[in-house]
Amino acid sequence: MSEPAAPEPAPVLSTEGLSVFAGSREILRRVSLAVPEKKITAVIGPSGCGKTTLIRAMNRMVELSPELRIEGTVRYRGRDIYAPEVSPVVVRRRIGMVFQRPTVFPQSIYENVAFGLRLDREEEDAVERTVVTSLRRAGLYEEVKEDLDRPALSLSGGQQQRLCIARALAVNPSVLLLDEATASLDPIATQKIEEMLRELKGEVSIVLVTHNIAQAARTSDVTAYLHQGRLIEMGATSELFEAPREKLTEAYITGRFG
Amino acid sequence: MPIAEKTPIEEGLGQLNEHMRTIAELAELAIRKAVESYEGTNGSGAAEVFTLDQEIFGLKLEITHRCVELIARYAPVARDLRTITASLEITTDLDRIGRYARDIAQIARELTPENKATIGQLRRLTRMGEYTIRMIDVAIDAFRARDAEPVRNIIEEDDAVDLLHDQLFHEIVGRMADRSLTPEVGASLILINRYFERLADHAVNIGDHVAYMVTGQRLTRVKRPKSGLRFAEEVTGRSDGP
Repeated sequence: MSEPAAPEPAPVLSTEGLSVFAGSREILRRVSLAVPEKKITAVIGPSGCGKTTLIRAMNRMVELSPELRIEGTVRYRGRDIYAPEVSPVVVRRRIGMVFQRPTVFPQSIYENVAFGLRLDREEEDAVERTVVTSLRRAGLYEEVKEDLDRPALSLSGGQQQRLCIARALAVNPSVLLLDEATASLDPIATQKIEEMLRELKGEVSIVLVTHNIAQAARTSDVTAYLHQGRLIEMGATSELFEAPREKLTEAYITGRFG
Repeated sequence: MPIAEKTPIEEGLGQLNEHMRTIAELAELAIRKAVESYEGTNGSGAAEVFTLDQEIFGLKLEITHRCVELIARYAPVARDLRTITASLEITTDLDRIGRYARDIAQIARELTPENKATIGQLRRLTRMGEYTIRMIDVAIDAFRARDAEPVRNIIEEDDAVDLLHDQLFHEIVGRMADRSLTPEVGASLILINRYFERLADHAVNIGDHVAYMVTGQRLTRVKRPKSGLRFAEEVTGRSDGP
């Protein structure tokens, strides 16, 4: 007799029938998916397929665009993040986001990472410990430890992006959403961030939106393919890139369109 | 109407496919010529098989080089990746087919016309050759057509070839015991019989690679639960049906 299959662990984040409208245009169409805990989930698809909208809906960033209307449900550990009693600020602390362009503030390296902690009015000792830990987790500390008071804008593009990741990690999120976070970086800087993400996934669940198919293949555990706002296919990255179930996925990942 | 330009990887896969078709034709030709060489129907058969075996080996090296280049340059995925890995594996099987054809031709070269005439009377050996060549043809045709359907039952057909191999082996041993076959001819026949059995295994391998290339699943997972056993009926003279 075969062993019963191990139950699927509960997803950290899930969407059910998630649609996002811009006026009458449906950018996302009833997307239902589950983001596994402490894994890297890649979201791929052609430009305009709704990748960015999907992750912006995952931490209520879509609400910052008044022209967008959302239907369906997004759950974090089973709880509806759009429920009236839930604060979007709290949601965004649990589910952090890093953008394509590094968004460093014109302040020191230290202050950039300490930014979110200052809002919590934490003691300076605690702030300093968290700043150092976060810089280490983002793989940047060794490169900047000599002078944390340096202006953040003096860092290279790749370092600035890792600084943004350190700032997102400083408030100890459970989920980190990355929207094309390496798109503006050179291959070496990209490789550093990918290495860092692989280290980080033991602690944080990561959702990586990327138009770089090879990056999704080499970095993620699970891949979701979106096409014209619909979730076409989602599964183990190794399986999806070896033998995708859907013709649309096959056409996209083999470069036949998109 | 404008013609869509091929991407570089499509160009590379197209060239790989041309090479694969050529090496498959050479392997099919080699095994046919090898059979002709011991049946005595083609006097120069053995020499032709040796040349074909060398050509197959040379083409195998070229195909391996092309596959590695495609992987290195284009990081292929999905069907492209499966086509390349399946081509690498199929090439190895085709190379082995060429080598067994050479081994058979080598034995045939040592046989006298009288011995060839004696061998020609063994009906089971003729059938063994026919079945094996048919399996190789089916597997290669499936590869050419990118169609897993024709190879769905190839494992069962190999079971029938194994059965025929055993029957022929006992027949050869029996004939050696009653001295209707000399030890020299008997030993040659045992080897040829064994080579056919191995050739059929390579046909199964090719069928499996084709199934994987086309469907993403290995043969054991895509075959039908109830299969035809067409050769088995011929070998045993029995039919599973009413």
